[in-house]
Amino acid sequence: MSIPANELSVEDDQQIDNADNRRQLKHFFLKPKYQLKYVNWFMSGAFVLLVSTVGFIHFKLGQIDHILNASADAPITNQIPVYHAFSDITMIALGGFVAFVLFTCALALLINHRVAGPMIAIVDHLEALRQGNYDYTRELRHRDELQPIHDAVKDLARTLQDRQPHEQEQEQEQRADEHMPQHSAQDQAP
Amino acid sequence: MTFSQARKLWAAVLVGCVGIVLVIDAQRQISSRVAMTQTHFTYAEAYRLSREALAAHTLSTLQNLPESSGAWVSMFKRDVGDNLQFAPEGGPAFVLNKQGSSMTGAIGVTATNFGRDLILSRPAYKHLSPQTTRVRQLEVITQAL
Repeated sequence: MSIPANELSVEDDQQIDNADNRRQLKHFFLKPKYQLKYVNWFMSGAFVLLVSTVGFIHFKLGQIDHILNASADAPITNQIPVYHAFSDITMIALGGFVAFVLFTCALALLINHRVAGPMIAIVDHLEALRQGNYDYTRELRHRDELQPIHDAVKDLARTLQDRQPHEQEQEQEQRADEHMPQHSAQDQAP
Repeated sequence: MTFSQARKLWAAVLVGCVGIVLVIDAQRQISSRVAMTQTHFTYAEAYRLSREALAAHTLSTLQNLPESSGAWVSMFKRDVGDNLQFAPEGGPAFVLNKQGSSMTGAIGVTATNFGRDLILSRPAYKHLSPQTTRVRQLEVITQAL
């Protein structure tokens, strides 16, 4: 049973708004060109680190096989190299994890650098527009993100600059119209 | 999404899947080596205990020597320590045969000559090569001298 729109409360409206703003899976790839670039970087780096770590671990496992199969008379002394090999495997796994964390941090810094820099430039540009400085120019670096937003702001600046003389003319005309009746009234006065 | 972008996405998914498979395989390989090490150390410990027992019996005839395979296995179970009581895949750590158990990783024990000659067998468990050690009282004495 549907509720008439005029009976909906403010809370109901907010709930409907929240439902509309809910993230949907299909919206995760709105800009695949930009998103996939970093996904591929991340996956490539992580894969290289993973393969290196697993490769080192397999090398150490091979050493354990060699130690266990080399002794013909079961000496108890070969326990120590086996313990060392397992210790090395633990260290390799931890080292791989640390390397992965460092790689992730480096990638996050790089992405932040490519987003934060343009963000500052765009904010400066908008501030310049607010102060009426339509000639303000500041180009982004070649690999910076937010290029479409920067281009849109530049377009906005051009549009505002083109409108400015027109608006001034309109203002002058308005002022002239406001003064005109007074003049005509004065002219008609005896 | 263009074909090229879809291809990149699938490549990323594929790389992720390969990574997961590599990690699971490495984890299984490490577990396998841990089990192999347990079997090997059980074998090494049984070898050490049998030599000790034979040497002690030689030095003092009052020292009881296990006279059968079952008695040797009982002695191993008593002295080998809590960590090596069971085979890696479950079941007893020692079995009464000449090959051991390649299924569970249990060590084979065979005693002859009233327990004075002992054959310990490490099975071909996972990547371990099968090994057999014969421990004789006479050799233990000779080596000790």
